[in-house]
Amino acid sequence: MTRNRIPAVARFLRRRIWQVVPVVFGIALLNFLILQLAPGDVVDVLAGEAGAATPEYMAQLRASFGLDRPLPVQLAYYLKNTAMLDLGFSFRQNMPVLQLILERLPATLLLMIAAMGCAVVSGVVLGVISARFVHRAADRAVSVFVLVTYALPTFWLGLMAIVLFSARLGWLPSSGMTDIGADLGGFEYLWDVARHTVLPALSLATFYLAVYTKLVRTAMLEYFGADFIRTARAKGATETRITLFHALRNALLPLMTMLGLQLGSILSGAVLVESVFSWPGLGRLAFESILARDFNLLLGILLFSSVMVTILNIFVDVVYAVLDPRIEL
Amino acid sequence: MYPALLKELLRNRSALTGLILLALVMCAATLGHVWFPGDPWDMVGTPMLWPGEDPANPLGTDIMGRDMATGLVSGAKVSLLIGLVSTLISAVVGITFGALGGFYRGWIDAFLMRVTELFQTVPQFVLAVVLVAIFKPSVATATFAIGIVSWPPTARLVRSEFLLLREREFIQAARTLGMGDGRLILTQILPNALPPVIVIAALNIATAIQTEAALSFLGLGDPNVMSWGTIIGNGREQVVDAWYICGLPGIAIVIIVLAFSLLGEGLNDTLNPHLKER
Amino acid sequence: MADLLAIQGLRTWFHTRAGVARAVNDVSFAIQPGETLALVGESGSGKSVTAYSILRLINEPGRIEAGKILFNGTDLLKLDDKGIRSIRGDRVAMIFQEPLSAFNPVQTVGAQIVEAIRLHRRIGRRAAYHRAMELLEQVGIPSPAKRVHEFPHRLSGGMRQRAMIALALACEPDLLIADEPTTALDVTTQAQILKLLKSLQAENGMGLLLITHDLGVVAETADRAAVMYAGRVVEEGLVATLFTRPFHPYTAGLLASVSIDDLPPGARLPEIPGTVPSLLVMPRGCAFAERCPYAAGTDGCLDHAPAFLPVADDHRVACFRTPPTPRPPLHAEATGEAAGALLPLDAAARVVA
Repeated sequence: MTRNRIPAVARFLRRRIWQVVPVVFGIALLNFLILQLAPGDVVDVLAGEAGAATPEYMAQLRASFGLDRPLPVQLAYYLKNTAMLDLGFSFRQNMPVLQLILERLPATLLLMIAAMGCAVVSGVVLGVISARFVHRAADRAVSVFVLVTYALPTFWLGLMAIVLFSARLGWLPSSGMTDIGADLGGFEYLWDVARHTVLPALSLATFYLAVYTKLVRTAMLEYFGADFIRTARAKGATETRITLFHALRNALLPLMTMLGLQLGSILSGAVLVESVFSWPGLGRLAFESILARDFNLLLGILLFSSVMVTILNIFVDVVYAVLDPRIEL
Repeated sequence: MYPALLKELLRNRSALTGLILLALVMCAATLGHVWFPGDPWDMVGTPMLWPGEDPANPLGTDIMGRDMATGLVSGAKVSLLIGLVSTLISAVVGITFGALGGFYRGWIDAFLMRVTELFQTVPQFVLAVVLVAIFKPSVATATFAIGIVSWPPTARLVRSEFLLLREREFIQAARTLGMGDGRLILTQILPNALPPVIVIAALNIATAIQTEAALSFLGLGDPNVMSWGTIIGNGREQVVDAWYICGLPGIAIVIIVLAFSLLGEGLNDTLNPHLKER
Repeated sequence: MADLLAIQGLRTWFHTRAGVARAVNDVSFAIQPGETLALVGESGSGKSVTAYSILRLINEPGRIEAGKILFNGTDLLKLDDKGIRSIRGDRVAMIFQEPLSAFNPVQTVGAQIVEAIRLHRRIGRRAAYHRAMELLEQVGIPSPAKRVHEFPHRLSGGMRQRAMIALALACEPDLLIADEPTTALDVTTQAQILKLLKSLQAENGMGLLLITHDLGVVAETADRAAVMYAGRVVEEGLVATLFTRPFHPYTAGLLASVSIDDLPPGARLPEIPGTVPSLLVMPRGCAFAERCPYAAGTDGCLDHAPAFLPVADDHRVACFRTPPTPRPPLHAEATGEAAGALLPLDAAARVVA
């Protein structure tokens, strides 16, 4: 029962959180490899094009990376820095990388959650409709919709949405997370953020909406043939009840699995959407660091976003275990 | 076997639609320069001419007065090239990892799977951005980066196929005949594991093309090559006034991605009939 | 006594791409209140499809083409969706072969029983849970207050089938359809479950339609049996009559190698040479003709399907070899002699050999 599962969840989280360690180690190794293979001196790479950074900054970088030492020692330095969450200093932004990332994190999380919520809810609704009326007009319409949305590039969809909904119709704002200059409080602030979230979240959600619709449809159709659905029918349950309480309830399980697998891809999508809508999150930060050739920041974002995917995955696993009693936490 | 397969593929509605769309894009990529010769970077007309406004530039011009049609033809070439080659890279890496892990199992498998999981955890596009940015944007780095970030699903698929196939009787028979591991993997198991790999490859091409477009859109495209993403990236500042500059290459991307997804779906139906829906 | 359930001329066909599979073709039989009828046959003989047809649980591409299913006089095939739903689980309940897959894996056993109760009775959740616990206790599940909150995968196979029976009994049905209820269980558990079904039937006085391919189960549990072959009932009668004096060569073949006295539960139907004809291409004549030692040389068997006719009181057969004696029927013993003369058991044994 739910009550005695709470300590189990806590224990599970404590156990799983250690999984972050090998991920951090692995990404750090990967980052180090990239830096070593990159053309030119590591410091030059990290500081961007020569001449942009001050000699003091270059010297500081050299020291912190142990660049005058043999390669294994350099690696040890790099791993040690990473382990202590010292992601270095961004010369361009004049701020520690970690601080920059943490400042941008909430916006990205908001965008991801809004988009995922949207994709899951509409994916479930469309998938259920499609499965319930399989091979009929509604199902065919949904199939075509899924096929097209699956092929739409997220960033392009975002641009087109700006043209239509912001420029032509003037319904929704096209950039940022709040209106610049407007000093709003309380409910009005939330409303403002919500209005700004709509277009980026929907643009990001579209692709996943297609994926989830297809997945829910397939899973539901499979479950419609299952023995326990026949039992429910033999009990005298209505088709609506069978669809929602029995088939859908079970179809949510593969949906959660898919969601967990796609967290990395969703974060990738956020990078693109943020750069289209000037959304002040990690993606926008990544875009800025590309423009400024601030590669130390970029590597930090790569590491941090991987860690974030791992942590979110642990949460997805907990949700899965709550949904599926057969899974022992 | 192959003509029969092709015949069945042509009878599949998804596959046929996909192949037709693909043929159109390939025509544009290979023969397009006959109608739209010249360098896509040349400024040939008045900037921001709308499609149909001037017969000399049937699809209009961009903000620098470059011909849109010429740019789109060049983009088709780039998309197909990068899509196909990067998928080849990803298939080779994925098959190698999956085959070795699934065939040898034990610690080799454990190690290879850890690496695969790591590459699955990293947000793929962010890694591609890092690779292209650090190794300097070019067609080669983009192809390589897209290939490197997209192999894990193939590896997992090949591994599970190998785990199943290595226990089958004909493999055991070949083994008792004294066939070496290398020959066993390449001539006996791999051919039987390929059908699902071909399906996933078709879908990978679609994803790769989208990734390439996204990279160029962010300004990480080859500075000497006009790709669809580049055109969209260049046009985005003026998107409100001249949406066709972003719109047309976007539609081109949709068409080609649609082509490969449909082809993949059709291949799935014909190659893995047991997976087909009722 | 009025029939509890009377099936008349039921046809359930499956419209597949390969053609029309006549899974159930002109099946008729009846069950009295409180009676146990066993529907016996090999897999693919149409016995399960018949059972599912009663509650109209046939999925596409299957369709009930013709016939009547009279339950307490009402034709279930004529009811609208709402009407049939009010019968399902309330007046007629079902239990299934695989208790694990028949339960929804993500709901507790209790919740699923409660759902069955509350679909038909206006009672509160708490009261329904209380009733669910009573039911679990009734089917012999220890510490029902705990089990009611258990998920299906946490129960053993036998316990799951008991819980499934509890679910079926939720609204005290008049008819229980049991589709191979013991096939998935081990032999000891099988006997316990059968005993439980019998005692519950004695308590509730419900009719029981038992689908099985297990002659031991039939001998132990059923009052009457109907033998199905290739979508048709070929013989129907009291179990005692059927087991000692089978008329139809198919029934005889089934029984020949097995003596009724040493039929343990779990005994499977013995093999009969030849194969069941494809349901897609049914022969014009008797479906069993190809495997029947008496059909050779008899044109009638290959040209016409035999009618299903009474040979004695409560004993009907579809076979040309049996004289379709009209009523008034022969005396039971005389019938036995007559049948014996027509179909000696040693000849039936040769069907098997």
